[in-house]
Parts: sequence; structure tokens; C-alpha cells
Amino acid sequence: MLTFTLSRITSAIPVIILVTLFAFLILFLTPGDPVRVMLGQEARAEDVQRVRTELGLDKPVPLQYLAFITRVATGDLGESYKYRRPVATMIFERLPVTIVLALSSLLVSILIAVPLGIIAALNRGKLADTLTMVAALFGVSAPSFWIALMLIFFFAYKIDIFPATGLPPFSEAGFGVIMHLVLPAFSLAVISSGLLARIVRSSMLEVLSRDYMRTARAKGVARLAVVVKHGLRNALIPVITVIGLQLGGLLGGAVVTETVFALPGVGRMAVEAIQSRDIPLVQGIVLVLAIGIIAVNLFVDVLYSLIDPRVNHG
Amino acid sequence: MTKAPRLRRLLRVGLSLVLLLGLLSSGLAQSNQNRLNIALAKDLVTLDPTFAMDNYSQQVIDQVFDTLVTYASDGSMQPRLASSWEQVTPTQWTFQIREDVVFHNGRALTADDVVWTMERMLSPETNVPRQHLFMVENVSATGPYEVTFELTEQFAPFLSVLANRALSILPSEVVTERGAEFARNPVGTGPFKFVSWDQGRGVLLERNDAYFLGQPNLQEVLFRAIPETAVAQQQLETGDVDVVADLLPDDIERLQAAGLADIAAGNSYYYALFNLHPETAPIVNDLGTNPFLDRRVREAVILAFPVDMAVQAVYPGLGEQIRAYGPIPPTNWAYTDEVEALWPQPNIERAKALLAEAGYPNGFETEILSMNDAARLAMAQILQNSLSQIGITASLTSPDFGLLLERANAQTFDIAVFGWGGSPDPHDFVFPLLHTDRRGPGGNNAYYSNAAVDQLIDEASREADPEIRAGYYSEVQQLFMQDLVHIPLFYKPSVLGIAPRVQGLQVDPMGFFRLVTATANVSVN
Repeated sequence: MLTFTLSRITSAIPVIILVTLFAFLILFLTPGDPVRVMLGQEARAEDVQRVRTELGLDKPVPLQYLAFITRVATGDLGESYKYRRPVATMIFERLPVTIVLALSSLLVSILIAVPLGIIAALNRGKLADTLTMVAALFGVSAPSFWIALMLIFFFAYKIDIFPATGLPPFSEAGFGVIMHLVLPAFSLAVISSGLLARIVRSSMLEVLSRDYMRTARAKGVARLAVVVKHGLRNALIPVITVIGLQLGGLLGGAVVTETVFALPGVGRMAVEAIQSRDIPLVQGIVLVLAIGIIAVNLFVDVLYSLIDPRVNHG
Repeated sequence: MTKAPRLRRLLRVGLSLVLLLGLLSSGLAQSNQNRLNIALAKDLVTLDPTFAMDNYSQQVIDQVFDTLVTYASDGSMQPRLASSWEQVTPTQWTFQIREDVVFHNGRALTADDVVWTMERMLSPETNVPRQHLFMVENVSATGPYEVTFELTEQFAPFLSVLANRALSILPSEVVTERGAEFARNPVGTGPFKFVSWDQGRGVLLERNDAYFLGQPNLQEVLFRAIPETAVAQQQLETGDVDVVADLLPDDIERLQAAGLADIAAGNSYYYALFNLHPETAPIVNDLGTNPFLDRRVREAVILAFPVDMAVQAVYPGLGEQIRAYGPIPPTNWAYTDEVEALWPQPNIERAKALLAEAGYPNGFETEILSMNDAARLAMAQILQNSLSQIGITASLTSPDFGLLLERANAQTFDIAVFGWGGSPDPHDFVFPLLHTDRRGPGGNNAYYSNAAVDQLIDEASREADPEIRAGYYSEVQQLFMQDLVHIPLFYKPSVLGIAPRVQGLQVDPMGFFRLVTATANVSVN
């Protein structure tokens, strides 16, 4: 188990380096001079030149990348061009919001998808199955910004129960912060729960047809107990894989959700950083998210062996 | 264990959870009634004036700090921290500073603070993004409340430079002590004191009882970033937000009818332009030459494009009020209405004839490059449509700002729909947009060059007498208009979403909120 974990961590390092290299290259290949974007159209040539030198943008691109990698190796993510603040500080100020949002929406989507998937599987081909799967299809295909706007329209505008935007500091609002997270978490969960419900259903169907299920029933175990104990547990493996992959997707979906709900997360910061060609900030975010997603996947792999002892990492 | 008690327990826990959440949310709803809630479209970057370049940060800075002078609605200059000023020689200006101004930390402001602030901007060590004082040779305190500037050369728009929020006056000891943290915990002299800046809630300010223009009516001001305008508008309607900085054009009429919108004349010049660069315009690759170098082709485009109707379509009900006839706005002291009669009236037949005369009887293919916002995109689409009537097939491209700037600076476009906003001094419109020295990246993206116009702009920038200056600008506007290089569209109005409970809110020509001035003091009821 330990060797497996260690080898996975070692193999993640080249992936992370490749990700940063691609992010770096894409930013340099995208037209749009960071200094011009920062200083605006009315900038004087003298200022543009001076700022370019100050930021080290006058050096060759490979040298800039080398400088970046060397800095990262020593734990320094550099300073944002636009905000003139340490990138690490900026990311860690906002990361908790994105993580809480992603986890709470994951929780919501599991709470929605697992029961729905089971109900659909148990009622295969009947009305309940059709209805559930139509709802799931809707969830997968509805654009998340539209869902977000609709949720705000009904639950913050028409009937004013949840706040539409912002996130007050925990020190001030306490658990009232939860109220601010309900709509964003739900709108983000709609898509992933659609997909998840379909996976739960198909995985459940497969398990239900297995011999041991019939044996358990024949032995006189109650139907619910069979479904939960023997069925769900075995159906969970593919579901957990998808949940692990979803978490990466949720971080991406957070970009839209954070913008619509005006939440101060990393996703919204990433969009603005890209628009303003704030290379150190974009790099820092890409790096931190890449490490996060790799860590989640590693965690999922480890989780397999706990759920299914047959999975042996030897 | 039987099933019933478990179910009951579950119900009980669920109900108490709902109750708890309800209590929490009602606790949240209690906020200060005497607080003005302002929604801004973007996150703030910095509250250190010296480094602030974006409008959003400057909106907040303007409430916490004061500049030496400020603008009136016609772009003329008014006192703020400076009570009076004098241009002693062509290159020397002295300012008398008010003696009743106190920083939020209780210390009185003197001439030394003004000098320190200006020197901070000038010092190469500060590494400012934009050097606003490039014309200043030296600045010194010539009395406890008197500051003297020596300029490298005569520069008539100097006062408008000092009105820039980037030159708000700072308390030296606080800036030195806090270092980089000053940007997130500032101290100024303005009508409101900084309280807190939380990423999720916004920037909270409280009133400065000792403000030199009198005590503000508002107890608190909260600036929040709400990037999605549609959401900000809904929050205006539910009363969660009092002011929304820029409404979507499509919703203006509806919100106006609901008594939630207020429109003020704006200063940003929106225009279409021809790229007159003989080589870099992409159309040169197709035709072997740049057709827009021929004035007849430019005139044909203009004759085919009914600007009045287009402006009316984008801003219903505002068309006439905001229509542009050149870079200098009609509300500006240097504007001349002579230009209005010089503008050709739409005439498709004549347009076709001119195009044929210029050698393009069947038109040609080109591209319109537009900024990516609702108003400009709509104008670009109407222009595209108009061009099709005279046989010119135009595609439409609206990339993100970085890419657009890249193409504008490299002069790699044919026709574009751009905007320009700067200080209300006429120099800041005509010099960057029309002067030969600023062709390409400097702002003159039409690549326009007219020696007579250059000379008039240069002379005006050295002329102290506003009347003589206005004369020069009048000639510039008329000469430029006859060259038909821009298609002036409109001055973007500042369309504020504003709750009925807000009284006395004004916006200045640059779109800045004026919460407390010599004549206005905003209140909420």
C-alpha cells in the first residue's frame, strides 16, 4: 500500500511539470501583451518599456519559464503582475471558498444521485425509471449559468429565502454562511448529480443481476438489506471513480458558479487573471489545482481498496 | 427498537435544523439602514492610489482620499484640497492648501504631505505602473500650506493631471509604516474612513465626522463586487443593493419605468474608425492596397451608415442626447457645435456612386473588429448590415480585450469599433487619438496624420488662456471632421441603477460617484 502511494506521488511530478509548461506556453502563445493589458491603451511608451523590464518580460521565454520553475521549487509562486501581491497568499485566501463550494456541491449531488439511481435501477423500465432518467438528462444538459440564474430568480428574487450573492466572513455570519452556499452548491450539483445518477443506475443494474444477490434473497434477507448491503456496496466502485473525476470537473464548474453568485473563489480569480494576462497568477492557480486534482485521484485509488478488498495494489 | 420513535427523532432533528437556519438568515438580514450598498462589476485591485489604474479601485479610493483639484461637469477645474492656485510663469504653478484638513488618523494635512505624495509618484524606486507626473521637474513646499511645481515645459492640461485619483494625497508616516499593506488598509482625508476589506463581502467604509466639506449623511458605504450584471439588477429590485454602476442596455427602459434607473451624460467616446495604415491592414492582402486611404471610400461607408438610427436602437430614448460628432463631448468647454453641420447625411445612392468612382463598383470584403460589450457589438452589427447595402461584405470579430489591444496596437484591422475615456481635458482626447506622435499603440489607431491638426494640438497644450485654447480645439475638431477618419457614434451615458431611497447621488463626467462634495451630500431613507 505504501509503495503504491509513493510510486503514484513520484509519477505525479512529471505530470505537474508538464501541466505548468503547457499553461505557460498557452499564455505566451495567446496574443495580448500583459503590460499593455495592464496599463491600458493610453499608456505611454516609456511606461510600457519600464514595466516590461521590471516584470522580467523582456527576457527570452525559456529563461522566464526556467525562472518560474526555479522559484516554484523553492516554494515561491511569485507576485501577481496586476495585484502586486504574493500569488500564494492570493490563492490561499480564496482556495477555502472553492473547496467548500466543491465539497458541498459534491455532497448535494451524492444525496440527490444515489437514491435516484437506486430507485431507477430497482424500477427498471417503469415510470419511476423513465422520470428519474429524464430528470438526470436535464441535469446533465442544462448549462450551469442558466441554472444559477434561475435559482437566483426564484429563491432570491421571487421568494426571498436565500441570499443571491456574496459570502460574509465566518467570524461575522457564523453558520449563516451556509445560507449563502445553498444556491451555489445546488446549481453546481445539478450537472454532476445528473451524470452520477446515471452511473449509479447502470452500476446497480449490473450488480442486481449477479448470482450472490439472488442467493441473498433466497436465504430470506430483506429486500432493502440486500440492496444496501450487498448491492450498493458493490455498485459503489465505479461511482467513486466518477465522483473522484467529478471533483476536478466541479473545480472547473466553480468558475461559472463563482462569477454568477459573486463568490470570492479561485475560479473567478482564474478568469480575471487570464483576461488580464496575469501570468504568475494563472500559473499559480494551474499549479495548485493540478496538484489538488492529482491528490484527489490518488485518494480515490486508495479508497478502492477500502471498499473492495479484492483490489490489490501489491 | 421500533420504527416510529426513530422516525420521530429524525423529524425533530430536521425541524430544528430548519428553524436554526431560519434564525441565522434573519440575523444576517439585519444590516445598517443608513448604509449605501454599491455593486461594482469587478473585484478591486488595490486601495493604494499611487498604484490604482482600474475604475473600480478608483471609485473606492475617491471616497477615502482627496485630490488637490477636481472636475466640474463641463470638465473645468474646481478646488478640493487646494483652495486656490496660480500659474506664476509658463512652467511654474503654486497651490494654496486648505488648512482645515485632517487625516483619518487625526493628524493635520500640510504642504509636506502633498510634496511627499508627488515625490513618491516621481521616484523611480516606487516603480509606478503609470507615471502621471512626466511633465514635472520639481515639487517643493514653499510654505506650510503652499506647494510649488516646476514643469519641464509648458503644459496646459496640468490641472487635469492633478485631478487624477492616482495623485490623491497620502499620509507619509502611515504609508511608510504599513508598506505594501497600505493597499489593503488605507488612511486618507476623504469623506469616508476605511473599515474592512473582505473578499466575500466587499469594502466597508464609515463616515468621517471631521470631513472638511462637512459631515457625510451616510453612516456607512459598502462596495461589493457582483460580476454578473443581471444578478446585480435583480438585487437592486429586491433592495439588497442600492446602486448598480452600469446597467445592461436592454434593461434600461424597464428599470427606468420602475423608477430604478438614472441616466447621466458620460464622457467616454465610442467611435468606429478606419485603419489608414498603408501596409498592415489585412485588406491590403486581398486588394493590394488599402481602400480606406481613399477619402471617397470612407465617405461611402459613412453615407451608408445611419448613425442616428443605430444609436437610437442601442439606447432607446437617448439617441439625440448622446450622439457624438467628434472626440470632444458636447458637455465639454472646448466643444464646438460647428462640427454637427459638417457631418454627411445618410445617402445610399451617393454612397454607391462614390464607391464606383473609387474603383469598387462591386464593393469588397472586409472585417469589423469590435470591443466585446453589448453596446459596441450592437453598433458593429448595424454597421455590418449597412455596409452590405453598398456591396461591402464585412465579417465581425470581437475578441477578448488582450487580443483586441494586440490587433489595435499592431494596426492589423480594417474597420473597428472602439471606445476612449480619459480625463475631461480636451487634450486627453485629441492628443492620443489624433496626433501623429501617438499613431499605433499610443491611441491613434486610425493611423491618422495631419500636420495642421498636430500643430494646433501642440499649440493648445502650451496655451494658458482657456479661450484661446478653445479656439485651437475648435479648429482641430472641424479639420478632423472633414477628413472622415472616425465615425463618431456616441458618448457612453452613465446608466446607474439606483434605488428610490437614495437621494442626491451624482456622477461626474468620468462616471465616478460623488457621495460628498461642496454641493452634494448623499443620503438614504
